[in-house]
Amino acid sequence: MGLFRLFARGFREAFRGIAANSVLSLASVSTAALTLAVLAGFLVAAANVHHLATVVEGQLQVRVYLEDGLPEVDLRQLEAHIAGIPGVVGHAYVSQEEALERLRQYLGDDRFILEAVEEANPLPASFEIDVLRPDLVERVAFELKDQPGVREIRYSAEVVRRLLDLTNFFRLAGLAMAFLLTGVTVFIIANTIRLTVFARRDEIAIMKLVGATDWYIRWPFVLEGIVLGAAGGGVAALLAAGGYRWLFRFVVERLPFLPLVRPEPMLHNLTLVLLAIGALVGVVGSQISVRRLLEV
Amino acid sequence: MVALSGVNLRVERGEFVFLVGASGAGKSTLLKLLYREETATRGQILFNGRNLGRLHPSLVPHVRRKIGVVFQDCKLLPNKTALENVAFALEVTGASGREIRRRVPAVLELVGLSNRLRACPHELSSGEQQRVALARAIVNNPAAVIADEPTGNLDPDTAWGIVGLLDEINRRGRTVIMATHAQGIVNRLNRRVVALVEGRINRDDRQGGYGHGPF
Ligand SMILES: Nc1ncnc2c1ncn2[C@@H]1O[C@H](COP(=O)(O)OP(=O)(O)O)[C@@H](O)[C@H]1O
Ligand SMILES: [Mg+2]
Repeated sequence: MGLFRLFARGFREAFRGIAANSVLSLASVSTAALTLAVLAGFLVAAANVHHLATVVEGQLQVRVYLEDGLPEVDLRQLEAHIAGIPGVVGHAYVSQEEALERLRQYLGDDRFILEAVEEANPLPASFEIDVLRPDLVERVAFELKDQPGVREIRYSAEVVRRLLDLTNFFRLAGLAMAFLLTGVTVFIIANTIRLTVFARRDEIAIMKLVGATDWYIRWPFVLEGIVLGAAGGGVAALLAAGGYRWLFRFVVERLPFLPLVRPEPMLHNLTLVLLAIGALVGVVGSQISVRRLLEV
Repeated sequence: MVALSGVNLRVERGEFVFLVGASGAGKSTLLKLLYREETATRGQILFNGRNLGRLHPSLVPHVRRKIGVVFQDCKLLPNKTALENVAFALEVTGASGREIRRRVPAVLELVGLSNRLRACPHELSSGEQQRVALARAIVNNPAAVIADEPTGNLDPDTAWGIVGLLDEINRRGRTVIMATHAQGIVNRLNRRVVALVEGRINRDDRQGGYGHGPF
């Protein structure tokens, strides 16, 4: 049979089924959407924590944030002190303006977000200190902790390990939650389709009688499942994308030093993943409800 | 319980066979075995040399396309027109649109419904509905037509119309097996008669009748 006709018929029948029990179909899509949105939340969280870990890990570095308006003299004195600590192999001063410029470059197309903060630059000046070996990082930080003009000190090592642990936690928790909720979704989709199967039992009996193959009979129901599941995935993707774009803007405005994963291309990939999982859930749900059709 | 036992029956290609017997004698069960709605617990059923009991499930549809089936209740889809009901049987086999547009009106003309193509079952008389069912049974050009009391719901004149069509279908080379109680029809057509009594073949006449009385 022409592939096009097979598809056309499948979709026509699938949408006929969805229209015929719209309430349950809507419930299916909503459940799928909710499930996949939860999964999306965990995946996005994991991606961000992982990103944070790699950012931190990339730095064999101690960063000393300075108090605003530190006099030139104090700055020079602090710099001299830094250069004298054993284990320090280099250091660079990052002014408030430079910090803002870096953030602008990092944001790329999203830099308009910063328009609001151009007036009063919220970013502190800092020293970036390169350290010889990871085990020296903590000592360097300790040396600088109580120096005048120092507002805050950040360094990596231990943090990285904790962040990676957190990444794994988010991934596992996301998977576990998704697994559980997917079970519920499969159940609801299966029941929705079972209703369509029931409504068409006479038609199915006649199809069998006149020699329709099993696949021919099943195909529209499988498509119905795919449509329901993928629709849920689509809704979840919209929710996730909207939510994350908002969060990204919110965080960049208020906590500009927090390195979030840029929305693109992450959200694009996430959408594909959610659609695919939705469709897969639909296939499984429909298979459960049409399995019994096999018996002649 | 046992619906059929010790049944040994051979039907040649192109034959017309009446299957007669009281209600519960096993007529429907025997027919179901032939179009493989049921499988026999013992013994074998061959169709065109194929053992239906050993048939792989994926091949069942292909055997069904070679056998047209008609029932007492026509089993038409209520929300489809006569044309669509018949086209349905062809669509599921993957026939092309051109093929469907050519064959469906032709078989509906054969059963005398050229002027009722767009009518839904509820707009048709019982006899017309049964004609649509017959058209659907033969649209796939089957080797055999199986009819399970196709005239059970019809008045004598209308019943004759349906039997006349089955006779015509048979004259065009298809095997016809028809289960019925209608004595008048069996007697008048004077074809092979297989009589079932409590699940056994009680009589098999090459040309015979069935009891007395008009119907
Ligand atoms: N689905 C079934 N399950 C169990 N017994 C059945 C079933 N269908 C028919 N029977 C029994 O099998 C016997 C033959 O029935 P059937 O073939 O329908 O007879 P007929 O068509 O000659 O009236 C009857 O005794 C009937 O009660
Ligand atoms: Mg019967």
